[in-house]
Amino acid sequence: MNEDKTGSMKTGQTYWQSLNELANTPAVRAAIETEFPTYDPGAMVNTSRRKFLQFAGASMALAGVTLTGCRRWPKENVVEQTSRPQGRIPGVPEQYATAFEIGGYAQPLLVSTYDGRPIKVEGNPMHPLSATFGGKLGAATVFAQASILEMYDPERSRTIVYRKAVDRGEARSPEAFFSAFQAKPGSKIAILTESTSSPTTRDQLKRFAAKFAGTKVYEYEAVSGDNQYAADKQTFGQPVRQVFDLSKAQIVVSFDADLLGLHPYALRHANDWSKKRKTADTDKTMNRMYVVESHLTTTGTVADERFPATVRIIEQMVLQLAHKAGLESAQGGLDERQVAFIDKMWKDLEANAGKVIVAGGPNLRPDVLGIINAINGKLRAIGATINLRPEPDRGTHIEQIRALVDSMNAGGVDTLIILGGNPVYDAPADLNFGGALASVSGKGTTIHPSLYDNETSHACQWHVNRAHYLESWGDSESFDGSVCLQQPMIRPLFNGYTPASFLAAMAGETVETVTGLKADEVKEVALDQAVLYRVWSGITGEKFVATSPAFRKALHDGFIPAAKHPVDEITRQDWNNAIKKPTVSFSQATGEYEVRFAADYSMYDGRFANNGWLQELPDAVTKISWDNAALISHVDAEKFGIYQDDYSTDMIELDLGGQKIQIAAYVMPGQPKGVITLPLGFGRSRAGAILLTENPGSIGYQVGFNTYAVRSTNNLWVANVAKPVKTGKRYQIATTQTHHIIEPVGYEIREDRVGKQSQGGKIVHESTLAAYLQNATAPHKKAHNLIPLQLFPEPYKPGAKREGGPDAFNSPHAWGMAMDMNACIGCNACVVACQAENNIPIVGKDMVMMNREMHWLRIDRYFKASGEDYHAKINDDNPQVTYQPMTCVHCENAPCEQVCPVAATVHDSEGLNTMVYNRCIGTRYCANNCPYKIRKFNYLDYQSKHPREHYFPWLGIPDTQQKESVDKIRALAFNPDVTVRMRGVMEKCTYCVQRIKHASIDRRNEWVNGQRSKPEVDDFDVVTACQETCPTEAIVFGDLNDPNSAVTKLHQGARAYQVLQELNNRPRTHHLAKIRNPAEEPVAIEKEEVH
Amino acid sequence: MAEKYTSKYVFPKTANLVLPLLVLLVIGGATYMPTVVGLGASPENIDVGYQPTQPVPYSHALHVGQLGLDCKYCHTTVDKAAFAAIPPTQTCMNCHTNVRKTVKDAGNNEVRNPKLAPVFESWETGKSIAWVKVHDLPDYSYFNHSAHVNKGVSCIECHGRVDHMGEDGVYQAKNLSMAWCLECHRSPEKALRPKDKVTDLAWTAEDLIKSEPGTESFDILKELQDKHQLKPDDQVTQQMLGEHLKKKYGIRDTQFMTSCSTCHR
Repeated sequence: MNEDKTGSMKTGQTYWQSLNELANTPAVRAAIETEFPTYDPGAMVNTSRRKFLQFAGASMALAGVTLTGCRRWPKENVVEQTSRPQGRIPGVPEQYATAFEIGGYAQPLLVSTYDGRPIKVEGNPMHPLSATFGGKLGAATVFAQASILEMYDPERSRTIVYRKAVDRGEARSPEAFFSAFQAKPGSKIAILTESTSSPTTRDQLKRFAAKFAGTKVYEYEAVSGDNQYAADKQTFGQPVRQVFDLSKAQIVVSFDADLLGLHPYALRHANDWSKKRKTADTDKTMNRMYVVESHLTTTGTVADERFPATVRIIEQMVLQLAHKAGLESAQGGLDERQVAFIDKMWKDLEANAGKVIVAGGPNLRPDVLGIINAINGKLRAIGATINLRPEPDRGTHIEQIRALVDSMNAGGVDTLIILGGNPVYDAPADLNFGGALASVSGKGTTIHPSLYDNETSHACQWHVNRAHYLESWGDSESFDGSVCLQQPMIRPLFNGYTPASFLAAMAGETVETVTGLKADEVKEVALDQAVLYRVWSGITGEKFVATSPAFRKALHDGFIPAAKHPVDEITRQDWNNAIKKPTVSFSQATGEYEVRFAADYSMYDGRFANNGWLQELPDAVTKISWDNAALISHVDAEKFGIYQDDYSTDMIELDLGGQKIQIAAYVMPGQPKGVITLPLGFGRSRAGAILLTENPGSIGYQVGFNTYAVRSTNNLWVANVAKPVKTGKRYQIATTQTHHIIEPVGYEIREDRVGKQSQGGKIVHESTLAAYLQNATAPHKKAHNLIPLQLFPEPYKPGAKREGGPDAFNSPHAWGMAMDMNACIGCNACVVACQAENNIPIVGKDMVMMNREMHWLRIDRYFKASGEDYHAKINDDNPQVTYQPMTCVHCENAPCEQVCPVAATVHDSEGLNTMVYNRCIGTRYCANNCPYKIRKFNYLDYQSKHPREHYFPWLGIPDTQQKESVDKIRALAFNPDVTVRMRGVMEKCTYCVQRIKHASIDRRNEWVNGQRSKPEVDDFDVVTACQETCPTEAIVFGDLNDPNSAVTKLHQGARAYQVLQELNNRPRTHHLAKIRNPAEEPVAIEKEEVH
Repeated sequence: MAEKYTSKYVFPKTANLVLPLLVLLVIGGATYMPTVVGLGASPENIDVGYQPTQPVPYSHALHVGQLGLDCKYCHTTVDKAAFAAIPPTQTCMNCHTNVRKTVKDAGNNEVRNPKLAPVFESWETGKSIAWVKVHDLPDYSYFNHSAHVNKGVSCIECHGRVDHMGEDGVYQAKNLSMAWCLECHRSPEKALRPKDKVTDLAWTAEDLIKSEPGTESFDILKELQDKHQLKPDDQVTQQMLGEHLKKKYGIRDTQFMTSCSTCHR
């Protein structure tokens, strides 16, 4: 990182969001001081006279268009169903339970449909995986939240495509396809499926194999728990699934396991973990999480004790822990700090035996994971905090794909069906799956049913369009063993097959043959439904499953609970002793640097590449948008002369055993020295269906770098390289970490006016548990000495509604929110939920680089490094992280309202700082005056703009946007309850006003009609989109007039504070201070520091 | 010579008129243009009387005015949802399976009723009838029928005497501008009536004393008579009724009713 050129901040700041902010570079200062850092009025002023006249002419023409617009708007039709189903009310959203399968595990969901269009996904509040707030709400992951956009993706595949060679192919009808296949049933059929736990798909695979003898089924997932599977099979003697119960765990230890991040059971983990944090206020105790990891994960960011290390060191540390547990002999090769960390960890584990969990990541070797199982056994965790469930005996994915490729190369396959997945893109590079596939495609038949016409489809003869999960019937098993049902929310937009219905059709089955009924009796039944009914008639034991109460209940609830059967009848104590401990040996390291592959928080394994919401979503940890990059520590970056500012960075080349990759380097605080992390899932060459080489191309086309290109069978997760080499090229990278930096404003000026005793309020309030228990105001330090600085007269006459309640804007409710920084894990689910709920557009990488991302809710990630001076801080590879969700805090005394010349932002009577889009004339004064920097401006018509399209009107590129309207299919995804904003309008968080209005109108109607005792809403009647999806219950919304509401209680708690309280903005959103629970208390209490 | 000069180089007397004329023109233009544009763009002139041709010549005058169907017989969701749903074809067919199914043509032969042809066609094919929206608010205003109907705001307040609108179709009776909305939101008492009279388009506050016992309006009449100590045949004014219902139905205060977020999101 470049040196501090101003020389003003030799020690560096306490809290910072990017290394450049820590370095206090002029660019960052400028970004803090201007609300619109990349907006340069000079560029506009300096336009030539000719250009100016062009602009003026265009404006006049536009004005003309507006004048002629003084007429009735277009005719609209009301198209009602010919007969309305009972109970249906047009315009009122309905909710249905369904499920979404990723990596072979179901995520139970509840989907809202609006007049037959699914528009919003929530977690299923009834399911144990997703239930939050005691079953009142359901959490969902970013992937589930964003899957709505995937369904309405116009680039999704729409037909069956036949390709003779690798080209664009020709569309074919299903009849043509199935007749072509059935004419020559291959004797050597192989099926490669993505990991699936669907009982129906598995049943169809069996039926298919029975019909076509000699069919072999292989399974492959690029991001797979292979090592854990192998370790469990070895240590327990059979394949098992370890289901963690963090609600019972006082001590959680993670060795590179991202328990709260990409684990299939992460939602439950996160919820249980957060509950054990919230006990700080009630029971004066908290759980403690130790994380030893090879790159910064969401789990690591919220750890109480974190230790960054290379994977090799992590494995040795596991052995050291085993040694402490008496399972191994003493280990060499660790330094004092590492040994001390393990000592500290063991002390806690031993003291809490039976209430602990030790988890290992997918990148650790099976032997090491086996040792971790043995440690858990020693600590009596199995049966107590770790429940074992049966797992199918499948063999590892890597063995399976290798066997398939060998067979393909040996001519053992003449028909290959690749059932989903994208192996050409994500199979290990050394297997050369593409080459093997090409040879089969040349001689035999290859078929790829998939959602997108992707890399693998292009290498197959046939591509078959697949129906989206929101459009079709299906089922799958969730991590806890319950079987979830998936039901269609809408008729398939582009037709298509599910894996199960595709296999059934391939085997020549029809709805009539599956159900045994006549054609006119099954007119309304689809094939995917028929095959599902067949399997579920077995599961429920009912002949007519569609009408059976058991099935109706499962369909309503979305799942049938896991049968309570443990793996074995052996008692728990025996399990803890019966573990077969493997032996581990370390080979000599070959390279100086370790390369660590990691699934991406936004792309997962690459399957979500064409999803604009996920592409634009700033990564949970790195805050990179529209890209991936090789993450490298500051020490290493400095060593290789890698220089990164907030807009561009150096390209490096990595040599992984002959396979080379050029990738942008990204200096990441918290990255251990000696480890370079390569996120998977980017650099897709065929992500969508639109012509790829054309501007704009498809959303996911070549975004970032394809790191699968250097991933091989023997280094699936970890590889050694000599060292990274700078290529000399620069790369533009969009990162939001220095966007919208809040700074307590104008210290010096304030001190001039109100004197020294006005301590600057800090933005981040935090404390250790011990200090907090000793003194409840510890997180706030001197903030309670604040003298509020009143810049303008308060816009209201105080009139208290109740003692302690808000004294203005409180009729009849007073809406408020609490955001708990102690629970937030930065997972971003709320950001995508907000985007889906509030019709927030995607802007594209070039716009993100200009500070113009539109997310109403952002998660500010603050680092705090140890060390006295700047150099120590910047080189610290283990900074503490605090997440602060930040959105409009709805100030009662709002600075934005004071400066709006047209009163487009004003308060309503319940405390909402409302934004009136139709009054807004786009002066952007409000954004300029917002100290929280949460207002977002529509510079362009982002909804109709393609995010990959480059657009700079002042460079003479014609304005095509006035002509284009929003894509018809994309427009279906809009929430009709929220206005779609146009160009030139300011927007920001509304506290989900549409949800407030619906709930309060409905409750008041019930009251008027005597169905309710009071007209006001109850707690949890109004839930914001971010609160609803938050797995850790970190966001709570409600009525501050109600003394018993959850939000009132949180506001009154000791941890609550107002960000930038010194400005007397009186925000309605209070943040709750973070409490850390480190193993040992710091010797001295922290100094008073001002951020 | 001098005269010649003057005549050539001195402005004629008529030139004195140029300035006043110019001033008049400017002032005239400055008033004329905004007036024309203002009046031309006014919802009063653009929207009132808007009467699109509907696919079926359905007469509210016949069904509601003469036959006495209640509004809610067809617009069932009006008290449950934001949107007062257009009835499905099935609702039409409840009666028209038998009623007026056929008419006599010129030759006195029974033929299918041509006015109902789109309804029959929709019922047979399962395809919806594409009714044309008459009262079409801009997409940024979120009107909620249930919030009004459940608080005693009658259909007539926005839709006029729909029971007098015939086969030419429903027309827009009020201008539906924001200023017009605010008239009621500022003083709702002018538009409130007992909930059981919401769909009775001919009803006025003067009819309250005629209320039948056992109805909600009768209870309200009694409450008002007690409150204002009226004699049994004393008239109840809309003002008295409105003020009473404002409390009874929990109508919110002006500050809430005129908050932006009440209608815009």
